[in-house]
Amino acid sequence: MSEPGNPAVGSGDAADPADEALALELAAALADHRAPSDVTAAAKALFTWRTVDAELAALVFDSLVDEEELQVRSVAGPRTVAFAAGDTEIEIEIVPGAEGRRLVGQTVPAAAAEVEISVDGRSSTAVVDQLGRFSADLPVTRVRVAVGLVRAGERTVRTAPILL
Amino acid sequence: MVGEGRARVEQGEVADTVRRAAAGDEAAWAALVDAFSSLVWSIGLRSGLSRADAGEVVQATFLRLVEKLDQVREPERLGGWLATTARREAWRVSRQAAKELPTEEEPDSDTPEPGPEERALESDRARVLRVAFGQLSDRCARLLELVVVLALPYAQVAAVLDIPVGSIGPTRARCLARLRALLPDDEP
Repeated sequence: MSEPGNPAVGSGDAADPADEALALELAAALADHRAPSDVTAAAKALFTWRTVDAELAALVFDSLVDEEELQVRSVAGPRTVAFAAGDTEIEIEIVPGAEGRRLVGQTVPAAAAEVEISVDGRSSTAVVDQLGRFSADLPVTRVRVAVGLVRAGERTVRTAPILL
Repeated sequence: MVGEGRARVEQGEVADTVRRAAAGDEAAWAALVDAFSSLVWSIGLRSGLSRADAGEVVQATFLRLVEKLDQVREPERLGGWLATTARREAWRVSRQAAKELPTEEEPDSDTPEPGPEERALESDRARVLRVAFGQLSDRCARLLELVVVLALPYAQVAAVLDIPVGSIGPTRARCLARLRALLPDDEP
């Protein structure tokens, strides 16, 4: 096989036409290796998460990942995640509930009076107590959850959505 | 289905596209997703996840990118960063699936399987190519997947596979030759 002269070129691959024909056939035969359009569309829709008028709190702890990496045994422990933006931290724990599961959260510091909890895109508000605690019911099935702090007259903080 | 041909974000344009997306250009973000979602998807499938869970990996990985758009220091290595993030998210999703289905030992399907309808419509030629592709070495299969099937820019392929950019063209040619050799003779 002769080597193509300009291997650094990112596209075009000016090479053997038979190679290019085979490459096209292979790309068509393995089309299902490419992301389906609904998956791609969902990823494009994520852009709205940076345009909302709130600071995005990033995931800083996930018991599912971090405890295992630290080799801490988490036998039947509740799923715990934590988000942080600046000085604000939002912790969320998933515990069994009366009918399904219950989300129990706390904001540190306890600066908000209410939180907006979005479950698979449907939002509801929950009262935050003096210690910054709040809770909400969750279905048994996996849902995408985001929590936003509601503070009148202040820039709010919103967690990145997470599958819980 | 994703269109044929090269992704619209070519090497060298990635940095500019990342910068525009970070500045709030939604079209630039869409271009990044078009260019890289299949890379992330393929890593989900390679991690042994179902198609539904691979979709979850795409979602989680691009969410990480949204969070960090204005902190991308080496956009020319974005593919490498996405690949690393995708592997981590794939692990997270697989842990979650395992915890939720304690009776099931293994996640389903380790290969990207088309649905029965797609399978029925698949041409003989495509079937032959899939079989031959499955017989390639891992190295060739992965390189051809990234370069030919997913149409990633060479610089990004280099970042994902941690190989020199200059080796990609020659390797591509060698691997296509091997693929051709694995095909039945006198294929019309």
